[in-house]
Amino acid sequence: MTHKRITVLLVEDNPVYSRLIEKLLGRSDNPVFETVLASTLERALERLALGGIDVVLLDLMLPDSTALDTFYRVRAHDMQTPIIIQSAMDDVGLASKAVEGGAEDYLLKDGINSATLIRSIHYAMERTHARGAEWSSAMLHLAQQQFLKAAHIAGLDPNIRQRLLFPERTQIAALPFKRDGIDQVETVFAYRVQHVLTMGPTKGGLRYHPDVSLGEVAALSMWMTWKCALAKLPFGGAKGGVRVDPAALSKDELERLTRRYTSEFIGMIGPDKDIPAPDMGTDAQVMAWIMDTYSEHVGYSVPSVVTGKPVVLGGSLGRHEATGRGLAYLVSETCRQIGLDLNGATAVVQGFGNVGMHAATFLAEAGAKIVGISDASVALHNPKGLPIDLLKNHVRQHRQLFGCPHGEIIPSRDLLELHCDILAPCALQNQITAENSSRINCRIVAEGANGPTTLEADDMLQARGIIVLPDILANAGGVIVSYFEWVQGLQNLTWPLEEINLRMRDILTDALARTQRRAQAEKVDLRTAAMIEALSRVGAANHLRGLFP
Amino acid sequence: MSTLLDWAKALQNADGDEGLLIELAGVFIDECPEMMRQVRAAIDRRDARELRRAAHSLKGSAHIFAASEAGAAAFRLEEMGADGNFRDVEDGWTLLRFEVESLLSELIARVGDRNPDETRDTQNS
Repeated sequence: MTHKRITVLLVEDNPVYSRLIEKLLGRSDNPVFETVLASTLERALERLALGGIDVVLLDLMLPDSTALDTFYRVRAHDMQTPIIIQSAMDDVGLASKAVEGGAEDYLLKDGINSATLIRSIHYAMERTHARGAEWSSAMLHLAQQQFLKAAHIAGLDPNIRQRLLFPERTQIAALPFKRDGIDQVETVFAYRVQHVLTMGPTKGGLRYHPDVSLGEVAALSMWMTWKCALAKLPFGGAKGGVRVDPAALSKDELERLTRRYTSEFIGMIGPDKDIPAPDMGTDAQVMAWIMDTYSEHVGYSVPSVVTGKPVVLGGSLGRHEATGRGLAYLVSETCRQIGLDLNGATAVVQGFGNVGMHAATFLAEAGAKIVGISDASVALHNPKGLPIDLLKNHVRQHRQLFGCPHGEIIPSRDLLELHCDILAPCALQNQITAENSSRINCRIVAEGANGPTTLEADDMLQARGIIVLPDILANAGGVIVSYFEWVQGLQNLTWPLEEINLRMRDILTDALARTQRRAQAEKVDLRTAAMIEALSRVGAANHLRGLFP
Repeated sequence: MSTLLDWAKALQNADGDEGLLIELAGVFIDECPEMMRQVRAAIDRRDARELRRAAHSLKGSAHIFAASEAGAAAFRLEEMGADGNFRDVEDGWTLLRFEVESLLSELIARVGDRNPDETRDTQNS
């Protein structure tokens, strides 16, 4: 795990106090603090202008500026970065005036400790983020751009286009939960977003990640709508998220957080309303807690309120590895079509989480040689092929690939540029960009992650004849088997794994065939074709239902 | 228990970490002459703003060591600076010098007692 880094600009002329703050911040290893020291206002402003400062700890009494002047001069210089005033007991009046004027908080220098200091910084950044950046997200921007491009080509009714640009229903909660041992309550921001309520219940994962914002959750809910429509599943898209670093929480804290989340959003979710599933930072155990909390609330067991549950609680066989398996099915079908023998082909997989790990496993099972793989800790290259089973064992023991002896370490940015037949970005958004797309060196890009390719890069890959299996198709295996889990739960019937895999393969190959036909008919790339295929279904459903009242 | 400083309270100010408190004492022992020089220079120049700032900074350090008398003496000069009133400034200076020197020798003694090696390291750094 890479830990979050926070750069603190400490503006302080007292060397004893500076050392104290530096040491207190230095004790935290998650987040990791980097303290930049400025002993005069002039130096502070110079440093701020360079950028990269997350928060300012500001003493008002400096050699070249005193009292409120100091605050206003920093504020005038930088409107965004949160400022925390450091104040002596006898200057509290001054400090609170600065807070009225827009500082985030003040800290009393007397009796400071690392817990209060770190909490104050954390909350100052949270508040700034909550006010400024909720809807402004690169991911939402990308999702809307993709949608508008497809809507334009498909000639979608402008009334419906406007309705689909933003989610129909969003709920935000400031979610409190108790930390272990100490008498401390943590408050985090939580979201549930339902993009389209026309198609049936809504469906989408629940993500625990420190970068979650309303815009990101909205973008992901949009992609879920297209994914479900493309696969002809009777769902609209949804997504949930909590802005928290799950790696920094104990299992008990995670459970309390999850149960509180469920109870806060209990009016929105339900087997006929909105069905959460695991996503980044959540797993089958988290789904079990949601199911239990929901069931306790209504008074009887409701397994179908979530998918991706443990199998013993009504989870489906094959759900855990479904996204990776689906991706491998689509790659193998595409290889067949273009006459590339997957047996002996080379593949590079970015990401070794649930999607990347299983994608690599199934591609290797089909005979592909995995020559490059990465996670957040390291990127590994081995032209002879990496032993996926040994990598998995290593990750099971050490939680990350770092330290694994089976490949040569290369810079992470070079991984995507390795020569290979199949490139599967299965980690993050915005990985293949206008900057690096000319160096992408493969025949097929299979998007296990959501939004790994920017719109500009899309056009450049298309021009070079590289086939891009777009995210809403390539990673739809997960939601398809989630659908099977939901159906099995409603029917109290369990299907054998062979049936599940067969049905998933049928749905995916059908969606791929429809996408390819669209692409040929409309002369567009596969992503736009898949989007058109999906949104004409949603558009038709909207038309038929009409508009109430 | 010394009246010059309250070690238990100072320890709280250093998040309960004695090693850190001793390190901070080392920083103060090193930096104190310069901080005092700045106060004196401000008095000589009759620079009220700088007197306020320099005394404020000294006061902050005294507070970390819970040295209430030294803190009070610095605060008196800080107020004189804020008011721009230099009438009693020499008395204030004499008092501050007395309190700060006592605090310094107390800190040097404590630092010497507790962990001479570590102190030498921080002083050299």
